[in-house]
Amino acid sequence: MTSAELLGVFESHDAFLKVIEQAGSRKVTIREIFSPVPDHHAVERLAGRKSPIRYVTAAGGIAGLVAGIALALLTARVWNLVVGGKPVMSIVPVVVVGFELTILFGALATLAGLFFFGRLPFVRFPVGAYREEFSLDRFGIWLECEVSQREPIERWLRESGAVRVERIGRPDAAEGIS
Amino acid sequence: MTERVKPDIGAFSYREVDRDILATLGRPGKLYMALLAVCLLCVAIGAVSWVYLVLKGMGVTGLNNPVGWGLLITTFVFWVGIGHAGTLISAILYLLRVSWRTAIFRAAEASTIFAVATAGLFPLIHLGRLWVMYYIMPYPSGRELWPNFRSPLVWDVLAISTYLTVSAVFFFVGLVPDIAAVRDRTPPGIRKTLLKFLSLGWMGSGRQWKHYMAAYVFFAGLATPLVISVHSVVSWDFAMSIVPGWHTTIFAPYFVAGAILSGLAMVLTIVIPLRKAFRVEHIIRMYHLESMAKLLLFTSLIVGYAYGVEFFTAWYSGNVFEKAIFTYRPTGDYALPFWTMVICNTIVPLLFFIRKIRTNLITLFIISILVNIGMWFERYNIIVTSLSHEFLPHSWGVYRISLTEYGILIGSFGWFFLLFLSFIKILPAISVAEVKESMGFPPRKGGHA
Repeated sequence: MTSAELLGVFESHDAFLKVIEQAGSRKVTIREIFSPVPDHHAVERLAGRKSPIRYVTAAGGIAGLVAGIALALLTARVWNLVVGGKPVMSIVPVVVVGFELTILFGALATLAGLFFFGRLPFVRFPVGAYREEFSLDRFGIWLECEVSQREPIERWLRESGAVRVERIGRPDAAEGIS
Repeated sequence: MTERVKPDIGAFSYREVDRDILATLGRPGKLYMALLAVCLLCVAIGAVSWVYLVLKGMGVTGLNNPVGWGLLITTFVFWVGIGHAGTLISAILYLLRVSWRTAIFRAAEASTIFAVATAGLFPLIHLGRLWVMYYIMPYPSGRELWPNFRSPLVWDVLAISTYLTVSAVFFFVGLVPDIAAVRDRTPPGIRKTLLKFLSLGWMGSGRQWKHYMAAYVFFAGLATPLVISVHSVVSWDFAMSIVPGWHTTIFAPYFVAGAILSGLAMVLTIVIPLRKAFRVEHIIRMYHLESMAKLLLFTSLIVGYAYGVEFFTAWYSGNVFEKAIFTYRPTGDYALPFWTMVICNTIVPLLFFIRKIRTNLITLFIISILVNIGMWFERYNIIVTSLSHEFLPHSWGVYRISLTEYGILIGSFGWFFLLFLSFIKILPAISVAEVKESMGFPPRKGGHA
């Protein structure tokens, strides 16, 4: 089976969402979507599972808490400042330092998670299907279908509200359809 | 100067919003260049004063025995406080889904980063011998791990550096989609290449948005307790000691409320001329400014309540030293700073109860500046008066600010505004992606108009 790749460019968000919903029944695979704004609706319909970043954040936070407690306790142990019979290893500093490092490590782990799962920095930028208008006011759907289905799918995209349909990623890509 | 309240930005298209926000990055005008020159002059005054202090020693300041903390620590606490509004608006209001944050949070975040970066200079300046600042870092050496975390001063270093790091990460992550928007509107060249690098190859793809949205919520969730904790820790620099006027349990919430008050005032001071100069009144609307004015009024009431409670507890405790310091503050050597603080922070903001005043650009701007002044004097009042008037009359003393210290203070304002002015010409001071998001999605036919 030979596959073809198409890019549908949409001005209307409703039309964009409708195509995402109907893609399964049309036997096309959505390779990627593009949006100028955070788009919860599209992401929920496409991606399904929640982002695993939450586990990375939790791991970072726990590591920070342990590191903070250890830092406060061990530094107090190394330099015994015995003042007025007060305990060398007391609770308050452990809470403060533990809290601060929980936040710090949690935030840095979240950043690392974002980079890892979001594949950032994306060094192969821009991919063939990306158009600069996707950061302005257009929504894009990058589809893959069988070559024999290309023309019906192009027609379907246009009828669904695509302002432009392009063939991409193949030698005949120059035959972009408007 | 009174504008109509227009809470809806939906009358514009994505394209118009993009054009208008990115127009702020255009060639700077004469007024901008003049302001930049003034800032550079102030920075030069500050730099000369600092060099003079390093060469001559701390004797060129007004610090003495008993007042070992003066203008430098006052200004440190002031700038940390200014840095609170950014994260409040970015994180807390984001989690609460407050819609008016979108147009102003970027400017507020930038002011946070630059204010905390400015604040961070002051403990170093106050050290005098700043080249030994690395002693505070917990690195293994011949002395083993030297810093002792039982000291609130070491907590403070940790809290401020954590706050700066997390705020900077939050700020940068929020900027990435907007840097990509600027990149895509920039003609090929060095600037575009640099923007490609800074935008991390952002394409607004489904995968990127999915993890971005998840991460953003976590950043906001982590930054929210942090913003509360930072000024609490700063307040413990004072409250953990037994100095009269400092040793009180209300210091943490009192400092946090004060920090938010001063931060909001500074954001207003910045945003009012910014929207006028860049002609973005349709994006940063009177509705946004009025909402900030209401929040400012609310925090002012908390601060006013804290001022009152301080006096009440001093009287009710029966502690003679507490009574003495709270009699000294309004009537002693520092009566002028005290009454400036009270008037600017608790009386003047009450004018915001009047709708005409909180929706008038000139009165908003003037009151925001007065609150900034009042908040600086609040820090001065807390720090200096208590040290001047501790337990025993023979240890009392008066602090007078020296010219060198004034120079450093001027330099810090120059430095803050220099950073801010540079930022608004390099990257968007208003979030393109979030303003568009707040408008809703485009309808099936035509634009938004």
